[in-house]
Order: sequence, then C-alpha cells, then structure tokens
Amino acid sequence: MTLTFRLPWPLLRVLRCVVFGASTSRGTPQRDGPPAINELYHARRLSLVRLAVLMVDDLPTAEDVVQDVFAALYQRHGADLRTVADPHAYLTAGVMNAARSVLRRRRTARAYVPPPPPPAPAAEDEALLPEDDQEVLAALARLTVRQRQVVVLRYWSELSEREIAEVLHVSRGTVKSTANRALTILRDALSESRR
Amino acid sequence: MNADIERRLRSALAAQAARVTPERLRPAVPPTAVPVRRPASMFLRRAGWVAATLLLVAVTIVTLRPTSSQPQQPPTMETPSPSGSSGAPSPSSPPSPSPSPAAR
Repeated sequence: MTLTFRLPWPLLRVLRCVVFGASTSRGTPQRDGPPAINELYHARRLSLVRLAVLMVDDLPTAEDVVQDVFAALYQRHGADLRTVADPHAYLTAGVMNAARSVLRRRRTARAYVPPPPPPAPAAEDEALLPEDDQEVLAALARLTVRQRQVVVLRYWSELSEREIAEVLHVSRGTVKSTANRALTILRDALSESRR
Repeated sequence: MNADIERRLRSALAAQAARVTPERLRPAVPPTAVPVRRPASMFLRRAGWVAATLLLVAVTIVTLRPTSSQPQQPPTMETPSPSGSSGAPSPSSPPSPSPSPAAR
C-alpha cells in the first residue's frame, strides 16, 4: 500500500519560490514584448560603458562593470523593474560604485605588485585623440576616485550638483568642494605639463 | 581660467567616450539570458526560514491537540458491599469448624 502525500499546487509553488528564490514574475514578464530590463540594457549599455571607460580607462573592464551592474539589477528587482523608482539613476550609481571598487582594488594591487607596462594604444586611437586631450586625460589620473567621479559626472554626464550628490550619496557641499579641489589639481597638472 | 579648464575637460572626456563605439563592444548579452546564480548563503538562509516555519507549525499543532496522553481504562464494575460503607468488599472468613477441646 502506497501512502501518497500531495501538496496543493499553489503551496508547492510558494515553497519552491521561498527555497530557490524563483520569482513568478522573473523571466516571464506580465506584459507583451521583451522584458523591461532587456530594453533598458539595449538602450543604455553603450552610454554606460562610455561612462565606465571614463572612470576605469580600459574597455574590457568597463564592459564587465556594466554587465555586472545589470546582472545585479536583474537579480535584485527581476525583469519588469516595477520596484525601481528611477532605473537610470540606479544604473548610473551602480556603475559609479562598481568603478570605484575596481579602482580601489587596482590601487591596492599596485601597492604590492609593480604595474605592468601600459598597452600600446592602437594607431586609430592615437589618431582620434588630440595631444591636448591626452594631456587632460593624463591629468585626470592624478585625481582621487571621488574627485574623478565628480568631474566625470559633471563634465561628461552633465549632471547638476544635486544630481551628483544623489548618485554619490554625499551632500551638495561635498560635491562643490570636491569639484573645486579637482579643478585646482587639474589646472596645476596641466600648467606643469606646459612648462 | 576655470572656464578654459572646463572646456578642455569636456573636450577630452567627449573624445575619450567617442572612442567606444558599438562595433568595439562585445556581443550583447541581456541580463535575462544569463541564469541567475544565487549565493549558497542565500539558499541556506531561505532553507532556514522554511525549517523555522515548519517547526512553528508543528509546535502549534502539537500544542493545540487535545491532551489525551493516558489511555482510558475501562470502568470497573463495583459490586455493592453489604455494609454499604466500604467500597472494597472484605473477605469474610467462614466460621471455623474446628472442634473444641472439650468435645474430644
């Protein structure tokens, strides 16, 4: 004689969701068309990789940063993104935080291991970048991570002080003083290079 | 002076960003195309919650059950005693038929 114990199907689904974390809405959007996160990915990927490149200086790392940020967003909020108030601000902040982690790890590693020789830039890259731009980008490397974040968000993303403060979770006064300090360092570095 | 620095900054950042073109990017892999890998700690935490919930349910069920721990004994049939005072009948010894010494 076999004793069968059958749980009702909804209860089984709830148990499976609790144990394995599989949301019923994850991967199966409620509306027609591709999931919202995929649309956002295709729309914002290029601009976010550019933002990350301005922070970490190399393309493969920048692509990894952006991919990780989207993966974290999907893992935390699912595919439809209903629980995210402002996905664009969320992504910008995510890229900034991930880039800061990369730069800190890189600087810690450089304290113990001598840095490898920088890769030779491709000929087309050399042709694309004027000498003046190369000087400015070299001066950017002298900034701290926080100063670089503020400069990139201010002069490339064209965010206001208030928006930068929200993305970086600091006060507006901190943004203003950090930007002033960064401009002073850049001015000194560029005047040095002109001598 | 700041205006000049700002202009140069904008120019340099735009030039650096423009080097990243769609052709140079790796093939796009949308987030939903990658299986979500959850850390083992999250699985253990969820399993712990399930175990705690089941334990709570079990304790509740055991607590709310009617307590009938001792098996019920069948009622004993009591025979009324002649005296009516004591419940347990005392065995009465029959009168001894032993002959008296004077009878020998």
